[in-house]
Amino acid sequence: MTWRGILCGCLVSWASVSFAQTNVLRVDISSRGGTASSLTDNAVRAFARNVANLTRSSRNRMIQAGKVRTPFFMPTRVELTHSGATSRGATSSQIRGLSRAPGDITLQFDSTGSRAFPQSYRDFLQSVFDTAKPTMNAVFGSAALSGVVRVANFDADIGDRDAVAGGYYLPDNGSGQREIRFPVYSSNEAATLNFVHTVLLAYQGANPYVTDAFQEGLVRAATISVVRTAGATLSLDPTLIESALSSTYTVNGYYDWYNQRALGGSRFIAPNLRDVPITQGSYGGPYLARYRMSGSAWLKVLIEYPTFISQLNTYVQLQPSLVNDVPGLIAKGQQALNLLRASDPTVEGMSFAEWFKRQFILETQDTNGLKVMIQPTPIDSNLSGPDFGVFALEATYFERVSSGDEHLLSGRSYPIFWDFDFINRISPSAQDERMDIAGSYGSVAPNFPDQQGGQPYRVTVDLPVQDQMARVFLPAGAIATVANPVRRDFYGTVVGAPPTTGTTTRVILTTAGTLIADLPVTNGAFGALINTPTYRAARTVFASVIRRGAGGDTVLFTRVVNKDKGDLELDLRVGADQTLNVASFFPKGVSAFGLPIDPFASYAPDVVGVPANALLLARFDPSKARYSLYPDTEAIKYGDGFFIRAPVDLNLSVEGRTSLVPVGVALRPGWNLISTPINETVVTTKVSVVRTTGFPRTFAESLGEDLGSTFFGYIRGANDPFSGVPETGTFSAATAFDPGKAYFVRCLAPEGATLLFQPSAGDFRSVRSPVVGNMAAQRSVNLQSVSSVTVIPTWRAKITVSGLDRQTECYVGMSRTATRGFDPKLDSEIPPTSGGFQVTVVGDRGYYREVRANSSLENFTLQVDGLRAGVKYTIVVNTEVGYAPRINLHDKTTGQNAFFKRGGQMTFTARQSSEIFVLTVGGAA
Amino acid sequence: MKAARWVLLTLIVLGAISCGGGGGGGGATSAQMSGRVLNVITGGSLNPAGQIQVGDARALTDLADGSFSLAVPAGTTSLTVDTRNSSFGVWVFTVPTVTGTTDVGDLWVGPEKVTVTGTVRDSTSNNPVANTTINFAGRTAVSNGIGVFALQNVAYATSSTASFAGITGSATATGYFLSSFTAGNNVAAAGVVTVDDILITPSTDSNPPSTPYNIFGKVSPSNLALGTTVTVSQGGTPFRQVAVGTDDRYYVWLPVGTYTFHFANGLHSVPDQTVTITQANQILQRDVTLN
Repeated sequence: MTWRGILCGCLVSWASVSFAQTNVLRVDISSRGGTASSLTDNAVRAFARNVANLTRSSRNRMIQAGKVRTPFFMPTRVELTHSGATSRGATSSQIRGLSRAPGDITLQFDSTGSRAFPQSYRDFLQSVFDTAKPTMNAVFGSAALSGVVRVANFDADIGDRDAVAGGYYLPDNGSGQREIRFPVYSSNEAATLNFVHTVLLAYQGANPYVTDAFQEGLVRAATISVVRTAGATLSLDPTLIESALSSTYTVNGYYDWYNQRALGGSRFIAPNLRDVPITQGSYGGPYLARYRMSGSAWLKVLIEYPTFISQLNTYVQLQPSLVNDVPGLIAKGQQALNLLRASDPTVEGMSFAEWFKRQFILETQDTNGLKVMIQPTPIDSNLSGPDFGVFALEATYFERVSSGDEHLLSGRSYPIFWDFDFINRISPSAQDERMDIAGSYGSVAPNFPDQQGGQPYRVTVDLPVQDQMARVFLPAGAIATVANPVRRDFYGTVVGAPPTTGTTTRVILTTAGTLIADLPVTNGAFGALINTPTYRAARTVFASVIRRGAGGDTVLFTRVVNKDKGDLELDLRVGADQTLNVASFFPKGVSAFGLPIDPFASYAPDVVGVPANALLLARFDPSKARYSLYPDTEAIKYGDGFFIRAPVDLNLSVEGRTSLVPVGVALRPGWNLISTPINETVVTTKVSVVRTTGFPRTFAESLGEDLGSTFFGYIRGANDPFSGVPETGTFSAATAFDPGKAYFVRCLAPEGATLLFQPSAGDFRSVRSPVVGNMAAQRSVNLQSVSSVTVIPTWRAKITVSGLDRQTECYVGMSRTATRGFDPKLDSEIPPTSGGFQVTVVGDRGYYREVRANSSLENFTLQVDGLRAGVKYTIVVNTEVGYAPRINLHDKTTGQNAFFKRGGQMTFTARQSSEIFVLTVGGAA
Repeated sequence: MKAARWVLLTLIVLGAISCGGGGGGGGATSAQMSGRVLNVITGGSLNPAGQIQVGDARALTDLADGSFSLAVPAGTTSLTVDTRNSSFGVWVFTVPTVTGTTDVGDLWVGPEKVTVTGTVRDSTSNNPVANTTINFAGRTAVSNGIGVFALQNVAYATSSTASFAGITGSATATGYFLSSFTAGNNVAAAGVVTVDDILITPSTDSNPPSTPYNIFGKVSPSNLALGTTVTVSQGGTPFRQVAVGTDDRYYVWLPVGTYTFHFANGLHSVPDQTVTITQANQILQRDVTLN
């Protein structure tokens, strides 16, 4: 039964449901008893996962389809009522438990008082533990500390997030007692799995893992394993168990989609959010995604090594300091694999360390700054009309600050839906072009229309918010369509394997040497219905991307995947995982850099190889008009630019993902420090610009309107006399984005813009593809065909100042179309350098290039900064365009003059750090 | 809300088409106002739904996302939100003049009302900027001659500031880029939340970003500043030297530690300054006057 079936079956028809207050659901079970309450509770939780968090625009589709008729609601407390009365009660005290073998815990329930559960609930929880304990011990290992654990009823005051998480455990409740704080769940299934979860937390005793990725993640995976084990728990409805697990314990088949950097951190619930109520229409931050992803991540290990957690816990019990030693835990993780499967001690085909670093949810280091993540959910039923690829896209947007708090941000995003070619911007409907975000949550539900003659295709979703970008690949038309409404259960996208002439690209899925599926990849997307018991079980599968031609099959890429039960979505990127090694990438002193590879690690000291206490790292924040200095800087991602002051020459050795398709970089209004996310030089004709809901434009078209007319690279300056390395530098106009370097790009669009960097070749077509179908509002630009709009001046000269093996330049010019003031299409400002070597045209501002209206006589004031007294410098003037009858260069410090026509030079010895020259041009030709 | 906007827009367009050239008659011109009402405790919608009222026109906010849409007389400039929540009460918002279809944005309500104040400064000069329009949580204010603004009756919840801290406000002034800001970690004291200075950047910018630094300062008097060298030592060993620029300032980026700064310009100097950086994200200012 689908979640909608459950919902409509029990929420509306079977049970009387009332909403006494926010987040409290009262269910009257007078006529239906426990079955109805159980179904209701699980339905609501599944509902929360799938629909309740969508905003109205996203749900309209379902409302119109008649499938949703109730207000959307995310309860975190469910009260059973019988003829309007609650079914709580209190009886005698009881202390019950199993035998007191070493490592056993005994549960203690209050029988009276505010922390007492109803008798029936106490009995139920105790029986859950009694029944599940052998399996719990097998999966998780026996409790680290024997003794009594109090189970307290915190239904009335447990935080919403903790209730959704399934209760929590305190090693010391303030009175020296170990305590489980647990709410009242009306559903036996929800109560069972959440109680197993909480007791497993108690199993960690007084020495829990320090980070939630281990503490909560291991427990959640173990809980999944326990409740799925036949006979491990009381007789429960397996469908409802799975439904409840899907709500809060696992992301099931969507792991690849949700594996995003924003999940990382040491704590799943930020301190400031622990007691904040969750509202309907919001997840209340990233915590739920973190809980679910952590369960799914560790479940991947359990699928190959069912006793892995038990073994890891054993190591920790022998060496308690490991709880706060992630590298040590990773080493022990590998040790466990060696012990449990010496013949092939890998997880998903990788060493434990390699696997671990690819799971963003297991990034235990904290990083600050803005974060955005996007979670897609395919919508597969009640499709009608042009529905071809319908997805709910939910965004979580927040900021982590140094205190560990997370602010639930509001804002607005204009999602960009790229078709397979990255040329056409798909506009499914006006309501999906804008995402309003409040309380960290926003959503849209676009339908990607049939544009490939009924064939599926890969849609790339870019979600820019401020200067953050989240991206997912979606297989439009590969899951369920109007023409083929039966939902497929194996689907996904392929990047990096375009078919060659005479070949087709296919995905082959096998398990234990047995073929499960062999299906075509069309326009980067694939989907098939397999629906066999073998496939739908949680197991290890091998997904290979092959190229099939007359000569047979060529395997391009194989990924080992430990899939959860049910569907499987895969984001297959052929050849993307790489290690980038560059000697002296960070030379001693100050330099500007960006990574052309998206690192697996988020923690800056790990990425750049400098200890946190010695790291000087900065990124300019145009919204605050100042630099963020580490540790306030965000995680290092590709496309970002940073300044670093390296204490010694440092090599770069970073593992991450490269891209074989264009990559978007989000810009805020003002100056943005960015880099090319592509590992090659990208010229501006390979960069397109997208603004709000607008058409993609060429870089040239955008100059002076969306972007400043010049972007700047950073050139390290002369060596500091004492440190012996450059501590300053020079900004110089750039014409292309070189990999590894950072650039200042100025965004003029008040709402910001997105730059799309296109590799020279890759898994996309470079010309516009034919449009088939009924795409509502196709927006396109052919990057090759739009001519530049650069304005050519009548006369232009380049001024170069050199000395100490460094040089800096600026431009002056004249044009018929120029004005005396700043003209964004002609003029360009210079970023100041804080002491760096720089020549600037001084006017109403500092110019890198100043073009004025044609006149018979014009004076340009040149200021050279960053000079070293006593050092000899040379100024070279070189006319590049047009002709000027007479040019005079005047040194205001010495009174020296130099006269020339097309060009010439002057040498001077600096007397101070900054000197002024005047270039007089005697009119344009 | 977006769907509603779309439908409404469609209806308006269809209505306009169907009306053709006929009509006329009295009555105020109708306009459509839409927006969202959000709970500052949760960051989400009100439950029970809030009631929006303009004159006799009423609408309830959406339970899921707090959105509303209401036909109002053109020219409407205020609305009332009855939260139907005893602790939140009734709120009155001044909104942009409603004409045609107008989105009035997010209107935040909560159990408390505070004043949000701050100063708008030019990022290039640090000078205050007057006449900057500040929008935050559905409230609007304009900075005065010294760049100070005060937004009255802003929704707040002492019990939970997570959503308040995430409300994104905007600052707009002629000749400047739109700038966004949040209250961040600033909380209310005596009913006032003072936000960090809002730095806005001229759209015809003459002073884009410099390179990073964490210690800076101004050297006075101005006629001695240019040409001054600043030598930074640690443990008696000089290891960095920077020059004072034409803005009379010096900038240096140093790791955590204690440093001695020596300033000299010919015969002019100042007693050495000791500066201690305890955190890499700390920014310190040390101004000196040469003698």
